[in-house]
Amino acid sequence: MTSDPVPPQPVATESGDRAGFLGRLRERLAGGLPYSPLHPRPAPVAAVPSVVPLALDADDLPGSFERAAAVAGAVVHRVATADGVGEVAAAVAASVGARLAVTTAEPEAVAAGAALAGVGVEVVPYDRAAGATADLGVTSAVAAVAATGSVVVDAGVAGGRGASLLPRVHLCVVPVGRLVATPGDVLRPLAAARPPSALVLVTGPSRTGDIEQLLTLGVHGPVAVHVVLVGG
Amino acid sequence: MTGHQLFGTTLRQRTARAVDDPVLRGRTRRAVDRFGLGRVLALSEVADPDALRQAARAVRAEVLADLPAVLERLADRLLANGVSVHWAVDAADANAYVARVAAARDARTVVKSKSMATEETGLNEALEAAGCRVVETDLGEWIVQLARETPSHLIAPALHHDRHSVAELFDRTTGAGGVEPVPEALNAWARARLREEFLRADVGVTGVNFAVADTGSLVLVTNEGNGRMVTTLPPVHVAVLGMERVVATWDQLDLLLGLLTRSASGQALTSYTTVLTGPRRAGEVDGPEESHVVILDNGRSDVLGSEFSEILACIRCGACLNTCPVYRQVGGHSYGWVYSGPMGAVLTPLLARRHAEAAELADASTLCAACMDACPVAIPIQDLLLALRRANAVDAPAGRRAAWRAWSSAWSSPAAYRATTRLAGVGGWLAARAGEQATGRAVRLVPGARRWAHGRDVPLPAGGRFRDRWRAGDV
Repeated sequence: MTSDPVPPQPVATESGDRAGFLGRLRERLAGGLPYSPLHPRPAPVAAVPSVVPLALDADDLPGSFERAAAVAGAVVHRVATADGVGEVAAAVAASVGARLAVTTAEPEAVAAGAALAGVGVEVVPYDRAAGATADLGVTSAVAAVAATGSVVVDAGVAGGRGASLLPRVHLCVVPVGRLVATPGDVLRPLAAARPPSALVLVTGPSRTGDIEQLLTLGVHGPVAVHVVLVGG
Repeated sequence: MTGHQLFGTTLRQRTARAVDDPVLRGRTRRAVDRFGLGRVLALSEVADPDALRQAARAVRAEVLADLPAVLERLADRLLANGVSVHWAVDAADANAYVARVAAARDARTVVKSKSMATEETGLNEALEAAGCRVVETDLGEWIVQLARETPSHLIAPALHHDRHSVAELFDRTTGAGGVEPVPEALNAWARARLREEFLRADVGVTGVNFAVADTGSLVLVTNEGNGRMVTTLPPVHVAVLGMERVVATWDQLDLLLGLLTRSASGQALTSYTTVLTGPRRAGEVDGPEESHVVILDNGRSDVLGSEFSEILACIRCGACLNTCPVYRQVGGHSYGWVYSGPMGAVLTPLLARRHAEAAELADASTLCAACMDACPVAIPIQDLLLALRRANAVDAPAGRRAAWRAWSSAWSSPAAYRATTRLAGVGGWLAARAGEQATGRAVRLVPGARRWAHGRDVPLPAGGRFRDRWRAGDV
């Protein structure tokens, strides 16, 4: 149950009949796709448009982020400098009665973790075992999205996936300079280089309406997300 | 295909059951109203939603027209990322591959995040036959699995349950020991119970909302976090991908993702938008060691290139279900299979082609076209339903074809047309004298008319033929 060193990458295999599978598709497409006169073939799109929320204020990304995060159910704390993070972290930990916290390898998370240790919270680096019992998971983010109130967690940078998932509360420390406007600003650039093994846009706490369509939080993931926006 | 009721029942039998259940109908109405309103509000909050829909239609058309090349690129990038790829011709092929993967790891427990494609192939049954325990982890799907039922809505599978039925179910099947029948307590029980499963599972199976060919990435869209759990904790991840659920570029993904979540549940983004590119890497303490993608055909290639091709653009948002006046009244189980609502009425007859019972699903529509307006990728669903009906008409019973032919001949000549309207005029005069009730009873005596007339009022014609009044200068 502890973090094992990654075994050598297994050899990826291909099975089934690629040529046959795709050959059949080429056969089926030989005459092109048929369209009716009522709904003719759509013209190709030169530049794929983005979905832009009308409420987004491009000149005030932090304000837009706060509003969108509130809609998504995340709590946003603003601090002027990195020095202020520790106090907020301690307050969040106290408010949820956190005794055990896990942190990722990210410097902002490690620093917040040190502040938590200073107020008596047990702080350990994230691994599965600790994550499964921790009250608080402390991470940073490679970006935050103003249009949706999301924080973007990168498994490569964080050293793993579960610190923002397993504990009951997720605390995310993000410098305001990493704010971008829309999800497209995070997703479209993924084409340029190899994406990380796992990249997650976390938009508020875990939720479900599966029982009577009544919203409850914290089904499998965290019940609360606290974002500490540093600077600006 | 086990558990689904399509085979062996008629549409009429299934809808009669639903219509007789006012509790289910009330819940269905409330859910679809909530989702439907959510969609409308969410789209009102973005700039030019109709242009976005048209662009999304164009994007899906482009990808489908180029599907072999897109899939080829996807497979090459997946392999380069260390992800194994299996080309599955049909359901049995896909299930066998997943079972082999599980067997190779000596897997006992398989956890699943929501996947319609695996419902379609009957993967759970196949894995259980191979000796694995399969646990659905989407709360609604878990409830449905425990109850040995099938989902009743694309995104709200346990719509047909309430807190009491869920509490009773948890007590009976998971040893909940008298859990309080309130949503918070039920969710807390599910969280604790399913977490044990995540932590002990040997294999995690998911569907894929979109695969992005350019980087060989899989995009999963969830609210609960189970999709993340299933792709973080078990050592093996298998994703089952319907072959049409791909895009070529990240620009295309960005547009479709924004429309998917708003159209499905009125959210700008769900709680978790997960982008997976290969298994875990050096220096990462969790994530699967081994990843697989099963690319599934299972009848989709028959649809590609046919007059029904556009249904392959579907991104499984459920907006058409939420807006359909038929779905609203009869719920998901009436469609008898995995896919329900308008998209199910089109896709099921195409994918379940061998089953004659599927053909009549094209009749589960008032042809109001609300679905077409709601669809974020502007699929002309009404046209496809009409095309299915035309195909069905070719195979209709001889008596019905004769009746249509007779009507067609009668109204193909002006003289015959005039003669029939004169007859109809006489009939109208008689009906007015007899009154509505007697006329209704008379209509029901006509062979074949009884079922049609059931639930309809017979309108009495206004006095006189239009032709006569026109001639007389009354109009």
